[in-house]
Amino acid sequence: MTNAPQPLLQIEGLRAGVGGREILRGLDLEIAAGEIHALMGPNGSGKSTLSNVLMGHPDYEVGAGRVRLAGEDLLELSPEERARRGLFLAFQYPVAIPGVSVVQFLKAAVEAVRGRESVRAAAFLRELRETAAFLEIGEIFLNRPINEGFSGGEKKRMEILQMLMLRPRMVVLDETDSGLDIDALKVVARGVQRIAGPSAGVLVITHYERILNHIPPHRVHILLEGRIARSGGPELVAELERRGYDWLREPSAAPSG
Amino acid sequence: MSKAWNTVSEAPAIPLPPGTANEPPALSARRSEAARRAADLPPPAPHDEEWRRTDPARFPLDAWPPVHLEPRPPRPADADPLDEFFDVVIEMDGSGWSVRDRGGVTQSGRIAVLSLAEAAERHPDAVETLWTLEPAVRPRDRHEWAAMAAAAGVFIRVEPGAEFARGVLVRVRQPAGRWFCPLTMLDVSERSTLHVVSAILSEPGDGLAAETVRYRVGAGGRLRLARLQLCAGGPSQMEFVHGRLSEDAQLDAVSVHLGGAAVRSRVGAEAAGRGAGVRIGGLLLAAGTEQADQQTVQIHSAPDTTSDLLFKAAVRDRARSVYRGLIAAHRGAVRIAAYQKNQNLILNEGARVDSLPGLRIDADDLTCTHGATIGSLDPDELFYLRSRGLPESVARRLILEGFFEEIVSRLAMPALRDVVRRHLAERMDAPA
Ligand SMILES: Nc1ncnc2c1ncn2[C@@H]1O[C@H](COP(=O)(O)OP(=O)(O)OP(=O)(O)O)[C@@H](O)[C@H]1O
Ligand SMILES: [Mg+2]
Repeated sequence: MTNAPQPLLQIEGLRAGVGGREILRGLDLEIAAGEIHALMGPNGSGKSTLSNVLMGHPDYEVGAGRVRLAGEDLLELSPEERARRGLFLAFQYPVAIPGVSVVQFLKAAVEAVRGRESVRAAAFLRELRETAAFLEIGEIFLNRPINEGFSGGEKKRMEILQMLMLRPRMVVLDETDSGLDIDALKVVARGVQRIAGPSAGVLVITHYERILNHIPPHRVHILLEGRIARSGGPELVAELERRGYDWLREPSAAPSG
Repeated sequence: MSKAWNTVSEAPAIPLPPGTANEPPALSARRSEAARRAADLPPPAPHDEEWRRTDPARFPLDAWPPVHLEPRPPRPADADPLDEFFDVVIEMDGSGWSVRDRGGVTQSGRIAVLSLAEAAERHPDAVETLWTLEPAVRPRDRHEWAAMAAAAGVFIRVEPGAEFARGVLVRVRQPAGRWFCPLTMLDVSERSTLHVVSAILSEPGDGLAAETVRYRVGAGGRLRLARLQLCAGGPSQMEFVHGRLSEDAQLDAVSVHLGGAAVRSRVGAEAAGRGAGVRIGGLLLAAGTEQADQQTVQIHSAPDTTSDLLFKAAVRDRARSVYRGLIAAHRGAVRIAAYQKNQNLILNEGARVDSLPGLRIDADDLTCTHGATIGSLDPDELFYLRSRGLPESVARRLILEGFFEEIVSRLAMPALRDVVRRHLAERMDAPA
């Protein structure tokens, strides 16, 4: 451990809940720069709770544990400060903001995260158009209110567009693959591959093997009842496909490395 | 000083302006009548339904000396960057009113910009019609009559078939410490188009301003009317806007209220000719201890008419807003479609909104929809924006801008939208 590089994201003994109910019960997870991890787990096991806690949703209470991003304590920071430190969450259910166009929204976000000075209006627009084209998002979408009336798949692409524009170093994708058609899935994967690299970390939360074929993970973790019940290599995904989650609940299934 | 209205001395005092002696007799008679009607009506009492939610003490009729708006030459100092978007710029303030015909359009004889007194001589029928226009479902109250008695200002007439899309800017600067009653009469002839923007600003201080706008739109004519009130810290203000549309005429009106210690607004339209269409949008952001009371009436007195009204209000600090809407469909006004919606955002505890939609339907075979919502900023929307790096204050402002965008986008001119957005942002960012 002593010579290992400092992990990019480090979660230790995290206990958290919402509405007085504890959902995460001592969760440990480490993701190093350059790594892609997958997080799988049954409905209600706490995956979105983890996402929200990482991002700092004010409704979620943290009871114990630590979360660090590049060594810095995240739990003390507001959501906007976390975003500015390079954390990005692609939401499972992105909300619509009526009357606020994608361009307007992203301009404000990019200015906030990357700094007003570093983004000039013309350069921003050029980059936005290029990125939208890369994600096969039609230009008309850029002038529509963000997520308003967007289809499920369109919202997910919009999350990836935001991710690429904000250039985060730690990305959490909460079921970004759910509800995507085959082409959209490839587009999303292409977007994630663009961000992934030696200095970035990626956590892909998913129920399906499909997206992991496009974004092969270095590590796979299984979340059960608020804890990582098992971690392993990519072969764990195939095993889950075959066996479901029940075998992990058996007492013999002790968590492994 | 021998005018009739100056002799109604036993009645409660209705302040009347000096200097109207040279007006045509018909106009003087109308003023006297208005003063008498005002004097005959009882002063508002706090238990009146009309005044239950706004404080009558903020609208004293007898506390301030009246101003009579006489024409005066334009002053170079009045020029403003917004002017370049208009053919005609009219200024009204405590020292009178002036007109600058930047495009030379009045030379053509297709548009006339006259003082009320001139108009009473040259277009007596039009002035008479516009003066007497009032919604039967909501007769004038004491303040409105008093405002008519003291009203002076501008009459704009567009000849048939003429188009003035670039339009007219009316800039009103409310003087403090006065009873100030600017008047705008708009006579839009058949098949003509007129675009009027009024920007109402005020001097800091107290006083009372009551603006009257009367319009009529002839068959197939079109009126775009945008009104911006930017009067934070200024005198209490009232506005009385009403007009009538003939066959296939269209009104597209937008009103924006961004500040005013006390605001009473009455906006109405009557679709009086078959096929007439009314579209009215409103936006209000009240802060501090401001009180806003807005009432709208949509009257359908002819078949196949439509009306579409959307009023949005947001309140912060300890401000309050009251909205009362009325759709009235007269007998025989069949196959009409009327829509009225009032949406409200309460930005913090302590601010307050009341919304009272109303219907009075004597016709059948119609579609009539109305509704009101009152809510606060959605925490999930806030979190979404913050998760993208926006500080909470910016996130709140963006959501609010989005809330109002539906109205702002109805303004025809981009320059005007920018003015509104800038003022919105300032009001949002101002400390409580
Ligand atoms: N705001 C909330 N109030 C009350 N309970 C909540 C709230 N948010 C989540 N929960 C509960 O916490 C548990 C975990 O929910 P979470 O959304 O984290 O699950 P998940 O693993 O993301 O599930 P899925 O695969 O269905 O997306 C669930 O039982 C859920 O009902
Ligand atoms: Mg989830």
